[in-house]
Amino acid sequence: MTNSVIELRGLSKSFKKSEVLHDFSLSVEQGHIVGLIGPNGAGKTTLMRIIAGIIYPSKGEIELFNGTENLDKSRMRMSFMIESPMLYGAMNAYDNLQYIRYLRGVADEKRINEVLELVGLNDVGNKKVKNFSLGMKQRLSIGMALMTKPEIMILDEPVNGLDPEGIVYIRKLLFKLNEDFGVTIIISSHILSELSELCTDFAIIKKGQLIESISRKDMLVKCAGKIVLKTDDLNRTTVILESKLSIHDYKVLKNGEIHIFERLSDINLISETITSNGLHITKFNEEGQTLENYYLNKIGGQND
Amino acid sequence: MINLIKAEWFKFRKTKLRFNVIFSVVCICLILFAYKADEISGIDALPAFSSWISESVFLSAGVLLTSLSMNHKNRTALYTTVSGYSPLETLFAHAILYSSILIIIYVIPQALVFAFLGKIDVLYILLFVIFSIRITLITVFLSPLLKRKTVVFIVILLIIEYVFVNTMLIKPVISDTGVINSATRPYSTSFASYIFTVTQAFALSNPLPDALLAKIIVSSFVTCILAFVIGYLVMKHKYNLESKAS
Repeated sequence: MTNSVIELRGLSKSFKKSEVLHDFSLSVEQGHIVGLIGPNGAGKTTLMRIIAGIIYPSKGEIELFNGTENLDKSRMRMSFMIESPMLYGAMNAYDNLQYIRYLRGVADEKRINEVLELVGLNDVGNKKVKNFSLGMKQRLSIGMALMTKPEIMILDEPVNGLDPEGIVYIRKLLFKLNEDFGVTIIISSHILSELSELCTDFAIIKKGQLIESISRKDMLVKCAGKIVLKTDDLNRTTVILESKLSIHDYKVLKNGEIHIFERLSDINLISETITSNGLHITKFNEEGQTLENYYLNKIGGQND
Repeated sequence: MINLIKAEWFKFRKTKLRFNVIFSVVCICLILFAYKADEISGIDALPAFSSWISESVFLSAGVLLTSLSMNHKNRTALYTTVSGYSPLETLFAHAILYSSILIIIYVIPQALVFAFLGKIDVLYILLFVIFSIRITLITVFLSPLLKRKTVVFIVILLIIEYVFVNTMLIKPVISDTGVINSATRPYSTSFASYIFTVTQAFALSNPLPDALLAKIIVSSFVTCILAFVIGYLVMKHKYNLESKAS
């Protein structure tokens, strides 16, 4: 049984004559990390703003924690970092968190120090936020989102403009939140290699439409791609593949190569079976693709 | 709404309170300086200088607005939205808080000084409170329009000076002593007295005609409503809070 915490059904959003989101549906399960991937202007931030309640959809329905009523109350269990960093530069990190504590009615003031420690800013002292580096500001923004111990976090480009060290820090932090506290995360980023390491699910968006929603597991299978095989006898090889290995999902190329698309995990068995039948393998390797290639193929494939 | 007021007060306390207290003290010093100058010169200039009390409140409204414009400049105003507060709640919370701050920091201390000097009566204080609330509400309601605090401050300063100069130009009267005689200013007949709080406030140093009293109350009500409508619509538009389509 699935435990969906966010259900978006048929969301559309228009600004004047331009439709930014069109019939967008997505389900996010508890404890998952969903990566929103799409080019600039695809509608990622608009989608996040709709979930946050900053703007309303023109059409469609939002369900949060299995309810479509009292979304404002449901949103109190969530936190958002959209178009960040949204910080008071004239105050220090502690006071920025104190402001959020008052605003959201967090009773325990000790929570501020907990959060500062969690985001690694417990040693910044009285330094004003306007003098922080971008990485520190991003971490503080995440800290502000963490003040209420949220069950869901919506993060728009949290690693934007960070150096590699900062990116790794944020990734580890999000992993920790997800694994230790079970926080469900929706995150957008242009750094696809980061998302591929972090996310359990991916939603590919283009021109306001959901192109594909896919789990990491399925993505890995798809990205794993194919086994490229070439032997000294093409006909006998295909017979062996079908009769002895029950492989039917393959393709023979004009240059004599065979591309196998199933039983990719049985790579050793395939090579052993072919050689044990007296065939000489001249080419045998596994070819896959990265999330980046997969995304570009998807976007390109669906392109104009 | 209480949490919203607490949070905004905390932010004000940390960033703007000190400056506002200093500014208020400077205003009081100027009033006392004017009083002392009167004593030495033997000219009763205090009625004219009492416009300081008015002008300082308008300037302080500008100072307060810089605190509000901060929210929109760095987009921290979004925190109130994602925390579940409606634009209506936000506007009202700010209105309550900043009206209270203005009255406590500026109006009460200055009114007490005037009362101590024997130059003020209860009606004056009450009307002054109305002006202060009016200018604060207008400031709060129109704050979503503005982001840059310097622009905000310049706009308010220009309005004050425009009205001041305009009033002088309509009927400039110089008394025998060479001091501008505030009692002869045409407040109750000029157009500015219908719309500008500052013009009305200057008139407080004169004996109050009944017609002006009515103007003060009606125009305060109307301009506040107008500012609220404009501010609310701008805020709604800003966050694109369109009515949810079925």
